Amino acid sequence: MELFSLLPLFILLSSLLPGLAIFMLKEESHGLRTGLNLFGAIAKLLLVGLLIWGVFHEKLLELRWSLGPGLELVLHADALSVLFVTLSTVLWLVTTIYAIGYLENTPHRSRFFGFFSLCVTATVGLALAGNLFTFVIFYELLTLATYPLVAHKGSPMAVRGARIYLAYTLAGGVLLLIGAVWLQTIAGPIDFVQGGILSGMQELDPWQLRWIFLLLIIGLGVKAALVPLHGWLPQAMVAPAPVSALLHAVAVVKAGAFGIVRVVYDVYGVEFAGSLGLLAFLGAAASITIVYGSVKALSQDNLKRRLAYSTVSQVSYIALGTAIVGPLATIGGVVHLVHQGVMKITLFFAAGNYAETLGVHRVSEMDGIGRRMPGTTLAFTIAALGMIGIPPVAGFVSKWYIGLGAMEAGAGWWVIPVLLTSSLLNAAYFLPIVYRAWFKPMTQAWPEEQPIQGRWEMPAALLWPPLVTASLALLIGVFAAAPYSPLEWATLIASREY
Amino acid sequence: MNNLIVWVIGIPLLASLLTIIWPRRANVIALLTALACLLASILLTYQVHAGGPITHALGGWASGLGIALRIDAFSALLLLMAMLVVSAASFYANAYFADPLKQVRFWPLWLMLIVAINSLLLSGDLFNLYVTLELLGLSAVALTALSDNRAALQAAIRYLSIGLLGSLVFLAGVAFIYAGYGTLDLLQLAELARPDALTLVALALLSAGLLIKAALFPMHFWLPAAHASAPAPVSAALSALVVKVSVYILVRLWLDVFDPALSPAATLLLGILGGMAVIWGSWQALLAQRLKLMAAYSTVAQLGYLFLFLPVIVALPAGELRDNAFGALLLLALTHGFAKSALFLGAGVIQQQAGHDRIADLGGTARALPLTTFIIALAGIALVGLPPSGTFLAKWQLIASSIHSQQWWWIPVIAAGTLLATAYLFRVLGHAFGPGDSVGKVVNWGREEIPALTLALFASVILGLGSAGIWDLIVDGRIY
Amino acid sequence: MHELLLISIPALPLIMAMVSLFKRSWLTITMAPVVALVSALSISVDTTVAIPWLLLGVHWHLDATGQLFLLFSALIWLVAGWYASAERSKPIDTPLYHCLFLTAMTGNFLLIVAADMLSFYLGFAMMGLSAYGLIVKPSQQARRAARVYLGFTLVGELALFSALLLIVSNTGSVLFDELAAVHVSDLAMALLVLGFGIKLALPGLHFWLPLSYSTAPLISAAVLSGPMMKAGLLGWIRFVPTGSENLVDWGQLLLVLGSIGLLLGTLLALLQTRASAVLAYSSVAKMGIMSALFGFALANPAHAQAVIAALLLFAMHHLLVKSTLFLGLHSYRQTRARKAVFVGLAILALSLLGLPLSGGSAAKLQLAAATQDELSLLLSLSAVATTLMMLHFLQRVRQTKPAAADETDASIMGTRPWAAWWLLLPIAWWAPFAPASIAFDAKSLLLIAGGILLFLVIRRYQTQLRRLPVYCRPGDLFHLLARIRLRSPLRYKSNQALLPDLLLPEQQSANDAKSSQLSLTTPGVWWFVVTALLIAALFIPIYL
Repeated sequence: MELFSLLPLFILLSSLLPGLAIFMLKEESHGLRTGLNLFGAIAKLLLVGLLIWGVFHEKLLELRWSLGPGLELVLHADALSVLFVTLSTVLWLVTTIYAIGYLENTPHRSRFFGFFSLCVTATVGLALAGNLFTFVIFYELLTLATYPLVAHKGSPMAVRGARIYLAYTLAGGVLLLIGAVWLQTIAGPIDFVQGGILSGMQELDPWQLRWIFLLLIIGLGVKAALVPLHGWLPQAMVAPAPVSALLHAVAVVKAGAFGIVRVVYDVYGVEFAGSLGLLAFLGAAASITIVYGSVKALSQDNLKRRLAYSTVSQVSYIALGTAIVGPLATIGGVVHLVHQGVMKITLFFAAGNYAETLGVHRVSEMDGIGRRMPGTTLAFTIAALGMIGIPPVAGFVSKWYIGLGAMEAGAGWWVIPVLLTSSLLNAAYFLPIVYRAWFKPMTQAWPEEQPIQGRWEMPAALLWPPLVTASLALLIGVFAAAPYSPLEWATLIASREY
Repeated sequence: MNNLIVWVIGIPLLASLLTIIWPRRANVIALLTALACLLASILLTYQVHAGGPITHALGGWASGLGIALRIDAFSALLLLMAMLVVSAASFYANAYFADPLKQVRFWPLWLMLIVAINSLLLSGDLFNLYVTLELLGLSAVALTALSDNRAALQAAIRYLSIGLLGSLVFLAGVAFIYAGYGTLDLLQLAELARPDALTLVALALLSAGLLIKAALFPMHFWLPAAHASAPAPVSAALSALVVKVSVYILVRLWLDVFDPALSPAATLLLGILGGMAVIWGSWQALLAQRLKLMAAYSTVAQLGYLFLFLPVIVALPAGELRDNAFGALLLLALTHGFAKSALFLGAGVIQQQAGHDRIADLGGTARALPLTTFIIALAGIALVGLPPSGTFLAKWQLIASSIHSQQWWWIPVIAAGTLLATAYLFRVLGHAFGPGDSVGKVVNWGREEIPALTLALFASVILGLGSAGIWDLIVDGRIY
Repeated sequence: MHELLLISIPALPLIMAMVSLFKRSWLTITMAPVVALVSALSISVDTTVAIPWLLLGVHWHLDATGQLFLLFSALIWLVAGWYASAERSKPIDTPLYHCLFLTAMTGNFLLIVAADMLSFYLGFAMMGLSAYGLIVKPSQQARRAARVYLGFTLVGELALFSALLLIVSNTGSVLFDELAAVHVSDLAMALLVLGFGIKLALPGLHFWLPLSYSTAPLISAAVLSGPMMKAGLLGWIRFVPTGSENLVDWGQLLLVLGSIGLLLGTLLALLQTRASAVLAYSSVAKMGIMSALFGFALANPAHAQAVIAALLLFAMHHLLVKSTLFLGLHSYRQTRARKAVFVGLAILALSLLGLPLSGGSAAKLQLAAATQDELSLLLSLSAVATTLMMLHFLQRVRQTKPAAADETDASIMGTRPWAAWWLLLPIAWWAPFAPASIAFDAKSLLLIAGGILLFLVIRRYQTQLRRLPVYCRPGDLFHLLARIRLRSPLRYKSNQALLPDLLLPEQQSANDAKSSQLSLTTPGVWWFVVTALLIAALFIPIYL
């Protein structure tokens, strides 16, 4: 099965090569570009299917390439990476379709889709990284590939947002780098090992390990938008809607959260990290972020900004689940990687549709929008309910497991109030939107309404992605306990970590 | 095949004469020469890899009397990098100089520069080093003056006088050494070196001369003007190679030859100056109004990193840790060579197409010159030290080595330098992606862009992914 | 077959909810309750279904309690749905209303058949949230009422969620069967009281109820006051393990709270001018007595079983009658045959206040027997209070104006709901079908007579309450609470820069110009300094 062990590489190449090819394309060759995009996305999906099979049957999927003494590029597929790879791949396909529809008749599409593919390549590389060194590499690459996407519109606002994004993430990247190097100098190459590589090295100075943890978490926390490192996220919402969707659901924010999960579980080992007292710190940071993000979201009138602050809050559920020792909390945190992604991407798709079709950017302009765009609004509603944690949408499952895990670990006295506060706040900023959309009559003309063409409320390429992801959010909630569901997969991960 | 060493110097020397004789075909001759040198350097590197360091006594005289040429992993890799840069820059220059008159003046000097670089890298004794340094300085000054405007001329004159000052001090150091040891051969000196007052004074003089030429902060003042006003291919060679070979001599003298005479305090001093260079150079690059000036200041900063390595390497015990750090130093030097030359070549394209290189007016460049913008971005990534460039690996090792040698205070410097570098790079890119029409129509300037792209790819991808070979080469290929 | 029917109980209304978005008719809205009704009658008791792959693994089950709830709830859903399908006015005749009506029904049915806590919670949440859409109307008042409802409902959900977490982490199982009193800690119990208490409108948690009942469409009020409200009671019955000594204190508390609810509800009901508001506060009072009875069952573990059995009958009776009253009120406003409807309403009122030979009387007798007359004072009080409220209600009904003329148009207002209502009337009168205990009860007759007398006295001395004080309007104290408005610090803010634009200084750098004119002196001095330093540094180790 020599070829089979190359699978991680092929998965990377399936988006990298189309991406590079797209750069070379002329602006006018729409058909070819779309074909390349879809080919890459579908090929990746098929390869990932193979990967799932392989990991489930515990095949060794590993690739090593030395870059120097102690510096090895390792691609390795384990259960956790499969979860993230699958999420990125599925959502990439959907987002690509959406982006093709969204960017129709705009300039610079070759550039956009080129970087778009690179962005996904970096995300997938990050998921498949087998050691801390490789992770850092892809983490930085992700920053680079995303910058042009944020700045894509080229307006002063976009350039500014991109600049702020870059300043934050690169500063975080440097701290992550320092932490990673430091760790490697005292402990040797840091491979990601289930159960944590450091928990076996009792001779290391615990204080050094604590400082390193702090560096790593700050570095990752910038992307994961932990307060007070979240400042870039609301600024980066100037990006085109598909980019925001990808940014908030899969690529950047999630990369930070995924990194935190990796560091806690596969580098330190969750029990070891707990014994060093590190998880209390992480948990506190996550809790503050959850509440703070929601409070800030309340006061945003701009829809995308509100969603951005909601991301700040929601992504920290992952960190919160990670910060609690115990398999149930692990399941909750890890599965929220997927659940938050699916729900948030739906919300951003919907926000993009409102802006694209009606020119609606503000919550206060959304009165009666459900009647004009029922499909989009339905998707939005499902995702918003999921975010609040209303069953049976996926968000409930995460909250349930995090709550149970907290009870199991004896941390219920502070975790559950955080969960409750956040849910209430989520309701307070999402339900008014739902209410306006469905129950309020339209009071003024839409700012820039596009005429309806065809039988749907808008072009199919824009309408279907949110509907598909919303159904996905519903289905993975309703069939949470079915085999191969994200929850089952998270359970598998948790069982391998403990 | 020992003669390869001679060829590397002999071919360009001969070619330089030929171009004077036959100016109409100068470009063809030069291009062929560059390719031949490149081929020779590849073969030489392979030989070093296969059989270890090579010594060649020119004319058959024993070392100490005649001219000894030596090559080891350190010089072989630098030579290979230099020849790659020179070849790419030659192709670029062939398209860049539209005026035949310019070409006639350019090629002989250019070939002399190659001769100087090659012979410097291959020299095995101090006096040769002095001579080649002088030759290098003179040809570089003449090339700088090629862009015939007043500022360039002024810069060239300053460059010349500074270079002369540096060479003279270096020569004084050489004299001291000869007086003390009776030999100038580096191998012999390495065996004899002892920490007495004479050696120290001599080392100080040698270093003081080199530091000016290597433009270490605060002796960098001449560099930005000279590098920024020279024609693009010349700037590329100046920034990527000419300064770097001075650092090469310094590192060789300090680490390989006079290692026993070193004090941690002295390396620390250089390290501190290097750190200041990193910060100051990056800050000035951020403030620079012109693209080429920014690139020049970035050179000041990048050279600073090389000096940061000195205190760290000296503090590490000989063996694997030290080799790792040394490999990183080399990797950083190589990557910077490729990246900076690519950046200058890219900036040259913009300057030609837009008629200026003012950063604030670069709007629309990304649309009109997509490939050039891509080149600048790639080169910039390597300068900042983002993966997958070689600089990233080098910085990783540098941080690791600082921790190993417990000199953690370099880490904030590296971090700050990296962030500042990001800021100046993305400032340029931000403007380039912004709206505007600095360049009228969409241009694909393949003859200039492809050489630059090659260099940029070397810096940001190939060196990064293929860097393991460097460490292999160092472990079994170092002379001293 | 039984399993399939059991699954169809919550599944069918959900499917219909989706269908009704595209095509709505009387069929889509009534098919599900009909099937539920048939199932309730035909499925053998204790049919169980486990679907491990659905949600977090669901267990559904129809026991005797569930059957009772399902039967009566489905009946009300059916008639209310029938009404809704005939309605042609705006908030009801929309796909959104139909869809949410059906999802609320789904939630209601789901929580009835749920054998595990998560299914129950899911049903409860679905029902509670969908009901928002049943309450909201375009008017300012209705929107406010809906918002208050939503706020309370969400707090209730979250309290229930937390209670679930506490219980499940104690039990290690989500099945109701495996729940024992030791598993319900005081905190969990408090959360359960809060969570279901909101639905049951315990005093202090009741503000949402009169607000929304008095503003919502009457069809919605019918399902809210009947099936949905009783779901809170079912919640207590399912979650709180009775028959254990551990929860006696909680029982006392509920007993006290419930009694307060009875008094408060009655008092406020008498102050209302609108018929729907009177019904709303009478619900508060009725749920108060039910809470008190549940508290009594907890406080007296020995009698718990019997009390709860009787309480169930009592609750079912109230479920049916109260909903039918609301529907009747709806008809009364929309029809020309107002006299006939009024008679129907009066009959229902009589059943509610427990006139001998009615279902209400039967339920009360059962209760009296089960509590062994320990609560006779409270029950008597309740009888008098109910009498007062119902008389007041009928009086207010007389003064209810018909709906606008165009809505009364007979061609729009078909005969279908009419017929259904008249069919429902006898059922409601006899509910909960406990013929065994139907007896002529002199005591209750006496109490009713006393109530009538009291009502006449009050009426005599009643000054015209033209303008009620604000705290007596529907929602009572909430109006006062709402006045304490905190100036919200959260305002919409414009985009503020988070980082100063320091990263990109664009100002003229002095450096560019200077560097070309710099003389050689300064750098020369620098060079000498560095060289001197270098020599010094090199020599340091020698002289140390």
